Amino acid sequence: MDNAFLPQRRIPGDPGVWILILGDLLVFALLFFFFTHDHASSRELFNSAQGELNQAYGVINTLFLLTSSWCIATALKSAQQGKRERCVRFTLATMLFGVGFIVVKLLEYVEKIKSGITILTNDFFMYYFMLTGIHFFHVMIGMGVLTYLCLKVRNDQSPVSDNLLLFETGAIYWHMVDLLWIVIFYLLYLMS
Amino acid sequence: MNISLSNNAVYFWLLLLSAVGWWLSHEYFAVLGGGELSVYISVGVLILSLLKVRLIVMNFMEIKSAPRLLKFAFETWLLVVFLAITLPSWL
Amino acid sequence: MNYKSQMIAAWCGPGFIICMLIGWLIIGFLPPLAPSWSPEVTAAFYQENPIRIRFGLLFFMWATALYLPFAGVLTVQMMRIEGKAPVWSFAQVMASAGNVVTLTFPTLFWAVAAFRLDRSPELIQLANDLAWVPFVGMTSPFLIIPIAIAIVGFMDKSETPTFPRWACYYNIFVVLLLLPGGVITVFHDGPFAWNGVFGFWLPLTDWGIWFLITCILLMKSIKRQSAAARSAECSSLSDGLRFVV
Repeated sequence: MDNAFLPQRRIPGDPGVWILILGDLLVFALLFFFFTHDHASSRELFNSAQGELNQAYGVINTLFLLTSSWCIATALKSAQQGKRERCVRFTLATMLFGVGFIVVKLLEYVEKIKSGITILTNDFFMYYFMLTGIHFFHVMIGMGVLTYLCLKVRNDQSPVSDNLLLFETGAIYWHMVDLLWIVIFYLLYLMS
Repeated sequence: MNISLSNNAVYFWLLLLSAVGWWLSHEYFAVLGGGELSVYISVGVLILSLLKVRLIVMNFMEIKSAPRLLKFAFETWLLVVFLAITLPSWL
Repeated sequence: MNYKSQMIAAWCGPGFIICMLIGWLIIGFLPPLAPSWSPEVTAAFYQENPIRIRFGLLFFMWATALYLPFAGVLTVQMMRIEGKAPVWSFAQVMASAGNVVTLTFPTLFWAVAAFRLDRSPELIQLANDLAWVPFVGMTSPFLIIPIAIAIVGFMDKSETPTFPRWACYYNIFVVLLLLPGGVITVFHDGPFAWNGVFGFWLPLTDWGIWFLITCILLMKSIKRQSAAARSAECSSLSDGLRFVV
């Protein structure tokens, strides 16, 4: 039986990275559980505190990360097609949206602190700062990863195909950053 | 969904689901009023969010074409997150 | 190449964790004291069972010494991979030395808390805080150790690396899980306090499992190296015999 036409199932990226990804996802799932558990026992407080959040910032950040995910996916595809220039351009675009996310997040933190809201204000804001803070840290690491990917692919000495596995792995990490934000955005900004 | 979506198609669906989720969370109550439906709306928006996550996982992260064990791990995680978020409100 | 010493030193890793836990069970620190307790309640903890606490702390302090041989074998194996300029192995050694300090000084502060029980409860609580806050919250310099291992593991281009790629990613994950432990300095209660799920239990479990996994990886590597050395010896011996016979 000729299997040449059946798509082979392969583990995307460097197989070991899934330990990091799945581990991180499990820990965040636990964080989500604790948040909703406390939310259920202090619904009034959490809902009113949610009113203090700047919804516009939340939406902009979600759009930034969704777009950045699309950019890195396009960059990966370009790399797979051997188009170095296009890959670099879309990686830089991903980083641009990442920077946008960071800027908006910092603006949001400053706005909160200026209006007297800190991590100790109440339980909702404990979770707000911790969830977005831990995520923010992941974004910073992601920026480092993207920078590394960009530098590797830009290097004219080796063909683009040499770095495919590395690029794929880095992209997977960035997608994780994006998908975590989608859930965090729901929990903090949308859920009632 | 056996057909692999292109990157652009995935992005389109992500934006669409975001818009619908946003409208349900915010404008729905303004236009149609709240009341008993608010719990279902909230769960509905959660499902939309998890669908967005699933799109990213299956298409951008290419889990759709990954070995079944890895795919199963992610589907399980999505279910776990759904339960982790909804159960505390039920119990 | 000292394979027996290396194996013993590797076992010291899990040994350290197990003895540490036993020490804590003797003292009564599992579950940990709550940062939200009033000074009177904290003082009462020490006043109830001072002898058990003092000897438990002694055992705990000696247990922390078991970490050192483990750091030794970790360094040896890392230097083997890095070769001439073992930057990350040295960074790990420094971090390990610093890590022992972050384990022993809190032990002494706990001992001080239990030393003079007629002190005012506020003072006993102060000594108690002086121990818990750095013990749980000082995630540095330990952080450098998994990072150094990940870097060295990624560098390793040999056929059977001591730290395979999945282990490198695992070490990065360990760092990510331990880091939020640093915020325990902010909270007196809740899941991010020094007795909370994310401040204490998750990092402790993660840390303990790290010792186990790293120990297993080290032992596998040591066994491989000693087997390779023995077969090299045997083949040179048989070469020698051929000349004689």
